[in-house]
Amino acid sequence: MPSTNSDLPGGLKLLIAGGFGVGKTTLVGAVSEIVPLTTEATITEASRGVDDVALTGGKTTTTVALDFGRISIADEYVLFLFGMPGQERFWFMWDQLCIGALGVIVLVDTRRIEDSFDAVDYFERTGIPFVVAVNEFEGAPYAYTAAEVRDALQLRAEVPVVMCDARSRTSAVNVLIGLVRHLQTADHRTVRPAEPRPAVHEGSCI
Amino acid sequence: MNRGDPGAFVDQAAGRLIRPYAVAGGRTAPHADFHLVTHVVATGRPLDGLGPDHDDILTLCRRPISVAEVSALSGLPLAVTKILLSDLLGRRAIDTRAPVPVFDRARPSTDLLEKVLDALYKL
Repeated sequence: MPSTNSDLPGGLKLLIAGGFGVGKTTLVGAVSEIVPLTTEATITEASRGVDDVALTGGKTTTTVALDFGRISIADEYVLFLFGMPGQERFWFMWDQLCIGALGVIVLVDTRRIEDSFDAVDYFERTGIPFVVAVNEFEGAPYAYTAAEVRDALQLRAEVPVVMCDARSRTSAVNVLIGLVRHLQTADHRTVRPAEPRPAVHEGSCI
Repeated sequence: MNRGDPGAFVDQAAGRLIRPYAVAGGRTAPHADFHLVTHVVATGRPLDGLGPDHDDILTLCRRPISVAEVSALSGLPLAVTKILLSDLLGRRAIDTRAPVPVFDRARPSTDLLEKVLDALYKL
């Protein structure tokens, strides 16, 4: 581990998961103090941290664009919000992204609620605290209630459901507040993804 | 091609003309442990002879900045960014701070969450 300079801000990480086109980057942009940036992560799927071929262009390598924004917490911390790639073929990287994350927002589009099943399933299994935020798209044929979404996703009672408009700063901030409030009371005793010190090379450590 | 001019390595249509592993000198693993939200800052120690990509990255580190931001702003893939940063760390040209270990004691600290909430309420 590199030496630690405590004059530097401490980095914190929140994740935003959800299906393709659900508004993850919009939500990041609504609260971020910078225009969302993109970093290109190269992940080695087959090796999962065993191999060293991440940069060699081999067939096991996948490049994933991660959009992110930031919020300064006084001068002490910086909270980073990362949009997690929603497509099925990127799930293998969720374990890595989740290490050290404070919590997760699962963003849901009620027109394609089935896109969220696997994310909810994943976070329930790993025990990472999460909230479900329902992005209320204009033009959706029917405005579902939080209770209906909870029912459709078969959420545990303690998982908060927040309705939001991912384009609105106030609304997006409200989702973040909902998550942090949940973190204050959530049961953190459940199993978390192995807390391993990530291996030092790319492919396992993002 | 002038090695000191990073523009010489970029073609407008094709993008970077140099493969990432060439920028990283053929290496695929950084020496030190850098995460997306590890912060880095230049120490002011001068660098010489590491090359234009290292110089560009060190310029970004004049103010405290995260590894993810260095990667995004330099246009270099995350893996390459980490390797170049580990070179800079090896020359003590940067200082680092590891991400906040939020789950050291099974749950994030109350104090930390309060500070985050306070900041969110002010947005």
